[in-house]
Amino acid sequence: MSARLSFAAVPWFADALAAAAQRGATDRTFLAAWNGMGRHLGGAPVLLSQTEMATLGSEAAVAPQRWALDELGRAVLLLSAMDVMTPEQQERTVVELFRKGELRQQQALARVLGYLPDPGRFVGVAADAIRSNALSLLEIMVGGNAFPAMHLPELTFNQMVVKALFNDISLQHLPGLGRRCTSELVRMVRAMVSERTAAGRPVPADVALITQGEPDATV
Amino acid sequence: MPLFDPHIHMTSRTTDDYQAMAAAGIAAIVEPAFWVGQPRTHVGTFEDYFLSLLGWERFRAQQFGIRHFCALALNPKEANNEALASGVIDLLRQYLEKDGVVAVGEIGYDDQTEPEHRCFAEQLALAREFELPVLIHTPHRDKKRGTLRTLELIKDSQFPPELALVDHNNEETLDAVLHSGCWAGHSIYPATKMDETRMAALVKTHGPDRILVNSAADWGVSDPLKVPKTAQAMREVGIGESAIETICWRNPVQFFAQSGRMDIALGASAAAVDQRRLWEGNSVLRGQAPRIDEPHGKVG
Repeated sequence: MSARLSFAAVPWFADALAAAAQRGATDRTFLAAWNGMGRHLGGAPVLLSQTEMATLGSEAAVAPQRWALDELGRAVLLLSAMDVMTPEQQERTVVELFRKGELRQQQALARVLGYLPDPGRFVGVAADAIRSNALSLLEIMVGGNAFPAMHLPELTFNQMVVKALFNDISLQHLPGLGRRCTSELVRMVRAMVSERTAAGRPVPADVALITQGEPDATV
Repeated sequence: MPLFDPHIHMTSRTTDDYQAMAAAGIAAIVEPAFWVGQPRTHVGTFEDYFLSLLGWERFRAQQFGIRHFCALALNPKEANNEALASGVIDLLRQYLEKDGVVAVGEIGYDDQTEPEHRCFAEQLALAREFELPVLIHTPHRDKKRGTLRTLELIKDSQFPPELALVDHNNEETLDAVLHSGCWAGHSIYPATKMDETRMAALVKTHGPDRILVNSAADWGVSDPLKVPKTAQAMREVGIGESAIETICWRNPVQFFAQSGRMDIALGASAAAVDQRRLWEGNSVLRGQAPRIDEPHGKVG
């Protein structure tokens, strides 16, 4: 990651990580770094080369394509802090950071949810991200994000899928969609197709991913 | 003919909108409490919101000759924040008695979760207690099922269907809503929900009884002139003036008059404008000359 930071940002980021690894997310240093991440790191996309992906090996999953630098910085910062916090502190921190977060901060949280310790605790945060009117959060939840299929209850998962279809957000890269494709989800999507047809409105192409059932085609 | 927009979120709109609405013949509106685009995190924020619907927004509308009524509720989307929900419902007890509150709304289902169901049922009970009609939102996603569940809940709670306005209908939900005895609202939107042409076609087949149209205009892409535009679309396909007046004026007046708090007559014209009036020291004017109509004058 540091290869992509500006000269001045490298020591700043290293200090922030060291402080977080020592004192968790409970002191002002953490919040200052969390809030200032965009100014220090910028928001350029982190595009990994083939060589880098190969070098990272299994760790590549933690730094996938499409993340922006500030989002990745916040994710790494939060993960560093998690190590020295109690489960209760961890949970409270993530919920509060999301509730008080501006959009870029919420985006970072939506991306990192699946990498947090005991991630199933954070389905409420994921549901809020899906329910948000800021569609970038929904795009993150359905864009190469393993969290939803692994942890969301059926209703929340189904609402996420139908909301993405409603907003023409692609479901092509939603891991585990085939596995989570229940008869209830198929019913909801078919109802949407029927409603669109009755209204004379176009039907999104991705409905076929659900109605024609392509088990695990997207993983 | 005066027009009524029975569902519009004016706190999200400008004075230009009020001017255009008045010029297009809109004489009365109902503003239901709703989701403001991002989640609120304190009960106190709802209290200030309710106060603005009852105070500043009513005053602002009056400055343009439009009668403003409101519906108060915890909306379905925010019913999912359980830490907040019970506090807001408690708060409603202090506000539902107020003048100008003509319904409990918007209530209903959005994601169709358990907390939504609970808050919906609790607020139906509140409406009974305060003898108010209800304005019911139906979901964007899984709409047909959400609408049928809504009608089921109304029936199971023995809520009088004539006091329920089920909103955001489309071709697949209207029959069931009319059959239930509830009133049927239609939100005319630029791209989604329902449009003017489709609405005119529905009126051709269903007639005007218990049918309402609204703009549901808010902070998103929406159009506060959809009621006059739909009236025009109905005219263009040969629907008579009397049916149009039933849909765009008589039905909303009759429905909300069931609250006992809508002091406008069926044949009323627009309210007189006197922009010299201030509300708690505030004016909507920014240096312009105030517009003053003769008392009971017609807004033109």
